[in-house]
Amino acid sequence: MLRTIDQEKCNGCGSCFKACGFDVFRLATDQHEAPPCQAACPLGIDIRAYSHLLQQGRTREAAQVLLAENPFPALTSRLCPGFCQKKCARGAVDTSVNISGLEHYLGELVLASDPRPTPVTRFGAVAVIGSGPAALACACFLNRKGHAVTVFEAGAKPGGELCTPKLAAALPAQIAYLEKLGITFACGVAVGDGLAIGIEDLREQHFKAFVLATGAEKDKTLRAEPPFSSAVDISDDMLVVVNPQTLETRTRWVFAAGTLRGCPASVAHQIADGRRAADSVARYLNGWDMIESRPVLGPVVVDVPGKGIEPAPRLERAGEAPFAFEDMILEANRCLTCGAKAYAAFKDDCMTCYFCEMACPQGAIAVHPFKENLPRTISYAVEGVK
Amino acid sequence: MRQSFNHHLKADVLIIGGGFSGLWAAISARRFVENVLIVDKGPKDWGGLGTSSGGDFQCVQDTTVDAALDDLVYYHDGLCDQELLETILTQSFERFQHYERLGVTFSRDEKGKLKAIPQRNLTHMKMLLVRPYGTGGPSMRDALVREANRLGVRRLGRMCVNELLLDEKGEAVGAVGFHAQSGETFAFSAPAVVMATGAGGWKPSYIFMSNSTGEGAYLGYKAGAALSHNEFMHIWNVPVLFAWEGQTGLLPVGARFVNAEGVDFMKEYYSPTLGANTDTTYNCRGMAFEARAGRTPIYFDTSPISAENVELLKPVHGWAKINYDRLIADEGLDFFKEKSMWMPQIMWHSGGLATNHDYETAVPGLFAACRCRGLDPGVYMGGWALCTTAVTGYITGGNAARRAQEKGLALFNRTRAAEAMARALAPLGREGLPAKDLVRETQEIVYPYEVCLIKSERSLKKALARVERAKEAFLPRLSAKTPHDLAKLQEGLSMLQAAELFVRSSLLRTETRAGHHREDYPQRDNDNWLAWIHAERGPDGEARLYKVPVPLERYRIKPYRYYMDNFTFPGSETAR
Repeated sequence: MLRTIDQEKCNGCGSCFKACGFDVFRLATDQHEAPPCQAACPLGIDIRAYSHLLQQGRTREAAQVLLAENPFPALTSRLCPGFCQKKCARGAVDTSVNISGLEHYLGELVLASDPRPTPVTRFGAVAVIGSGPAALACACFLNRKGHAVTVFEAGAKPGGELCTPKLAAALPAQIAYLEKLGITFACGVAVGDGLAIGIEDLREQHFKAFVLATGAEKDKTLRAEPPFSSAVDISDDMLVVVNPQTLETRTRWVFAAGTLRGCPASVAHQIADGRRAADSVARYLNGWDMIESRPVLGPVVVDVPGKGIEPAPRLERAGEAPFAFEDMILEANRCLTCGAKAYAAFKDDCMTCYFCEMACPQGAIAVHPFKENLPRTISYAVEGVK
Repeated sequence: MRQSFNHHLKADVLIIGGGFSGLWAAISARRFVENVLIVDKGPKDWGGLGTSSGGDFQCVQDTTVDAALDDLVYYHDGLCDQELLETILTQSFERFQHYERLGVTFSRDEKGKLKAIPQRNLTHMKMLLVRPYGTGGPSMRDALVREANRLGVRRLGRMCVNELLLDEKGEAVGAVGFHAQSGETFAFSAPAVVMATGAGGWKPSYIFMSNSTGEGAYLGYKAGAALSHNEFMHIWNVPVLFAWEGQTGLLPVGARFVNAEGVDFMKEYYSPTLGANTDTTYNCRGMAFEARAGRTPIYFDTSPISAENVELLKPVHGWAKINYDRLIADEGLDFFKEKSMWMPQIMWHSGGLATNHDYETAVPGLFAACRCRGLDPGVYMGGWALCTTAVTGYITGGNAARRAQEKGLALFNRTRAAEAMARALAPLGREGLPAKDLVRETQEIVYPYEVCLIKSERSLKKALARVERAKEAFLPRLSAKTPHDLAKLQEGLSMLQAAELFVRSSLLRTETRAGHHREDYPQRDNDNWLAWIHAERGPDGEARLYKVPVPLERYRIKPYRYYMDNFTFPGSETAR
C-alpha cells in the first residue's frame, strides 16, 4: 500500500493524482509559496487552486476561487494579455497552460448562473463615477461587503472602455449579472464640477464615499482636465493625484481608481485598482487603519515542476465558444500546480498498483509491497515466508 | 435538461469503458460514424486493465482455426459458444496485424518467425509476446490512444455511469452518470451503447484488477438484459502478502507449489499428467483441498530455479521491478531465495451480459464487448484477454456504429432520466453505511474457499443467506460523503449483485465442469448441463434463472474430450 509521500521532494506536479486508477490523491494547493502564474497576475488570482478544482471537474468551487479576486472572468478571458501564461512552468515542458481558456470556461459558467441580490447590510451608499473596468470592479467588491452602490455613467450605456466589439455579447451579460447582484446603474448622469450633479450634491443625498474612475486617454495630449478639482488635486498629466497604496485623494471620502489616477491600462491592472479602492472605501467607512493587513503575496515557488513531465498538446478554444467540459478537464490537467503538495485523500482505496510511484518524477512516493489485508480464501493464522 | 443535468452530451456511439476493448470499439466505430464518445471511471486514457498486462496476445497464425477451436471446446469442457469463438479465432490474426500497423512490436526469432508459446498444455492455443518483454501493456495502450486521438474519438475520464436510458420502444439510447471527482451530473444520448467495462470481480488486491467490478453487467442487467456464466469465476494463485506476476513462467524452470509437508500436491494427488502446469483455477482447487486436509500453508518454492535462470527471470520493468527490489530492501525478502506463502484469490467473475453473435444484448442498441460479455466457464489462457479485447471490441464497435446509422435519433424520456439521476445521487450526504463496508461484506461472502472453490449446497445456501442479509441491511442505508465515495458505492452494489448471481447460479448447476466444482455433485452431467444458465431481473426485481442449452446440433465439434478429466479431486474418482 501507499506508504509515504515525501513532502520535501513533492513539487506539486500532480502526476500521482492524474495517474491513480483508484482516485486516491488530491493536492493541497493552499501553500505559503505562490506559483509563478499567481505571482505574475496583477490580480494575484489563485490559479493553482482553481486549476486543481477544475482538474477534478469541480467547476462551481473553482469559479468561487476565481471570483474571489476577479469578478469578471468572462471579460478578462477575452481581453487580458495573460501575464500568468507568460510565466507558466508548463512552458518549459511544451507550451503554457491555456489559463485564459479555463478562465473563459468559468466566466461563461458564472454568467449563465442566476445570482441572488447581495443583501445590503450597511447603512449609506457609495457612488462610483464611471463604469469601466476599475469602476465596475470597485462597485462589485463594495457590493460584496454589503454596501449599496450606484454606478454613475455619463454615456447612455455602462462599460466605458469595455464597450468594444470583442465584448459585444459578454459585456451586456456581465452588466445584467451585476444588476442582479443589486448594483444600481445611473446612465446618462454626468457627475463632476459644473456637470449634471456634483460630488457635494450626492453627499447630501446620503452617499458617504466616492470613487472616481472615469478613465483617461492613453495619449496625454488628448486628456482634458478631470472635472473633480473641487475635491481632488490634478497633476500636470491631467490625472487625479492619489496615495498609490490607498488610492485616497485630498478629500478623505473621495478615492480614485483606474487610468484616471495613472494605473496601467491593462484590464487586469484596472480591476485590481478598483478592488484596492473598494478595500480603502471600506476601511474609510469603518474608520479602520488605511494600511494595516493589506494582502501580500508570499514568495514565489522556485523549484517548479517540469522535469520528467510528458509533453501534451495545449488545447485551444474553437473561436468564441468556451471549452467543452471534457476539453476543459483535459487542459486543466496540463497544469503542474507548482508548489502544491500531494496527499492521500482516499487512502483506503489504494490497491498497491505502484502507478503513482512510477508516475512521480520526483521520486517522492513510496509504495510498500505488502497488500491490503482483505478477507482470505484460505485463512492462515500466521502469514509470511519461510 | 438544464435543470436536471449539468451536462448533456450527444454521440453516435457511446462506449462505457475506456480499456482496450473500449478503445478498439471506438476505433472500429469511427469507420462508420463521426461522433464516438468513451466514458470511463478511471483517469482518461489509463487504458484499463490492459495497461497492467505484459502484452501477451493469443493469435491463430501457425495453426488452423479448426484445430484451435477443437482445443477450446476441450478446454471449456464442451460448454462453449463455438460460433462466437470461431469468429474470434478467425479474426485474431487481423487484429495482430492491426497492432503491428499501430506500432506494437512482437517477438520474433532470427528468421523472423513469431515466437508463440503454447498455453495450459493446449497444442494450438499459443500466445505471442510483445517486445521488449514486460512493456506490452503500456505500449499497446499508447498505440490505441494515439489511434483514438488521430480519429478524433472523444474521451471523458472519472465518469461513473449509473443507469442506461431506454426509449419508448425499450431500446438503449444513452445513460446517466456523474463525474466521480466533482459530482457534476451527465446525460448521454446515443442511438447505440457499447458496454466495455471488463469483467466483474470483488476487488482482489492485484494491480489494476481491483478496478474491474462489473458495473457494465450490472447496468445491462438493470436495463433488462440477461447475464450468463455467473457460476464461474477466475481464481489465481497469488502470494498472501504481496503481488507477483509471471509464476506460470517459473514452473517450467523448476519452481514448485508445495503443501505444508513439502509435497507437490498437484502432481502427487490431483493431476499426475499436468501437475501444476495448468490453469490457476485447478491449482487453486488443489490448494483448497489441501486446506480441507489440513496440509496448509501452501508455499511457492523457487529454490530449485538455477541461478542462471533467476537472472533471466528477475523482473526488470515497471511495477514488477519496484515490487521485487523493495521486497528485498524493505522486508529482506528475496522472492527467488524463499518459500513464500501462497493462496487462491478470486481475480474476476466470468459472469457477463449475454448477447447474440453480433454482440447485441436482448436490449436493442445495447452491445457488450469482451469480458463484459459472459464467455468462458472459469478457465483462462495467457494472452486470451488481449486477443478478445481487440477482436470483440472491434466487431462490437462496428456493429454498434451501423446500428446507430440505422436508428439515427436517440430520444429518451427526460423525466425518467432525471429520476434515474436522483436515485443514483440519493445516498450522497445521507447518514448510513459506507461503500467500504459493502465491498468488504461482498468479499467475505464469496472469498471463502468453500464458496468459490469447493462448492456444496450447504456452503452456497449459507452464502445466499448472507447475500440476503446484506441486501436487507445495506440497500436502505447506503451512504456516501463525496462523489468519490458514491462511485465506490456503485462498485459495491455491482459486486453484491454479482455475488448473488454467482451463488444462485452455482446452486442451480448440479454438476462439476471447468471452473465450477460441486463437492456434492462431483461429476460432469452432459445430459442435463451442456447448457448455460442465464439470469434476468424479474418484474419483482428478483433474479430469474433459466437454462439455455448449448446448440450442439448446429456445432461442428461434438465434445469428445474434456480438460477436467486431467484432474481427480476427492469425490470425483468413481466417474473416470
